[in-house]
Amino acid sequence: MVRWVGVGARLVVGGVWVYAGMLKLPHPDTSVSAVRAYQLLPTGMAETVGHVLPMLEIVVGGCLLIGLLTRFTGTVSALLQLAFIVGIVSVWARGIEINCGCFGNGGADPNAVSKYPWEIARDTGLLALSLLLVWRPRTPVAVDNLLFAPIGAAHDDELEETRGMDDVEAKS
Amino acid sequence: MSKQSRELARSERAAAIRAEQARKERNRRVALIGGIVLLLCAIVAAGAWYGGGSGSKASTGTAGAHVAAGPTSLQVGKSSAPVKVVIYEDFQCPYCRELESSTRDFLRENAAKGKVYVEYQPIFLLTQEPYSEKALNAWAAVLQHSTPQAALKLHDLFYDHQPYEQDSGQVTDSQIAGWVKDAGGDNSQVRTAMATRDAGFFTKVDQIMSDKNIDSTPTIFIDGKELPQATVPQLVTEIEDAVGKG
Repeated sequence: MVRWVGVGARLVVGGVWVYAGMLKLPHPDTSVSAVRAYQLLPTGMAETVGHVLPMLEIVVGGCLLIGLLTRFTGTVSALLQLAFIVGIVSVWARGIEINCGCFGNGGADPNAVSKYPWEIARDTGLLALSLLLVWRPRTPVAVDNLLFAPIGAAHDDELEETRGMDDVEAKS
Repeated sequence: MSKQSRELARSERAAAIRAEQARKERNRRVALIGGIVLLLCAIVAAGAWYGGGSGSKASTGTAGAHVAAGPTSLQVGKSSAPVKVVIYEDFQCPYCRELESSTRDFLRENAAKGKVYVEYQPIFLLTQEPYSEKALNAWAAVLQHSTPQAALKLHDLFYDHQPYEQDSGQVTDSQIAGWVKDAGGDNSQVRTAMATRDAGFFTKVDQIMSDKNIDSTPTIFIDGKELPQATVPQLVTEIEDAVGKG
């Protein structure tokens, strides 16, 4: 059962990532502006992050959708969500009112403070789903199942193999 | 050898074979995972490179276009060009920075080809931001006492080095002087002018703001018509379309 919940988590988190990344990809300068609006990273680093983020989101999302290196991409996904939550809490605490830039755009927004709690709640939900995939990365209908087929046929062996494989995966 | 020890030896050999298989499988997986991760990193890097290549590493300078200094503004390209774009902007405004990095190369290249005439009119909108004021004052000095080319390059450098609003007060006079030097606008008259606030210049740009009813930046006029407020990508598209049709 938890394995099918994992498929749901993959589709939801992966879908959100791909959607968010696709919206940002055509406007790299806007993506840089959105990162800069947080006034958090050194300006040079903000530029790099703004350029890397859209494609990173699409790749992470795509991997989750097809179930490729699920524990690894789930970890990256969780770290990104954590970074976004820290970013939103930080601007909220400093009284900076910006659109989170999560789905393109970004920059000043006079009603931002009323949206921050919802954005944090949303990202926390996505973080929880990502962590579920880090904890239980083996899900049905995943490319991982083809690449890393269990050697033993018995159920127990399969679990053993899964753990072994995921240890390697997590370290990579 | 007893039957018992033969069986023991056989099971040891079997265990060794299994261990060998497990080792091979593990190596295969490590290689596979490493290869996939490398491939994914390459895709992300390619995406970032593509994004970085389409504007943000905009060069500074004229790209061969003609540059002239007005009383408070810079004009790039020939005044006979079919399309005229006027950009009102503030040196601390983040959207102006984004507009700059998105349109600079496009506008300079088309100005050089005679397709567009661009007027940059920096204004003092964000009056609470020290960088807005310092940068504009230095720019005014270079505009009036150095070459238009230096003023254009300084304009570009001020956007490339735009600080965060929270750090607006941390940009020092010597940093500003350094950028003036980098732009090729340094001379004794400029240094003297930069030392004091050019009240006359600020009055003139304030007058332009009230004449044109400008209360936000960037404000863009294409052939005398003000573009409605929109996101920067939308403004960029409108400019590119207008120049393309021109």
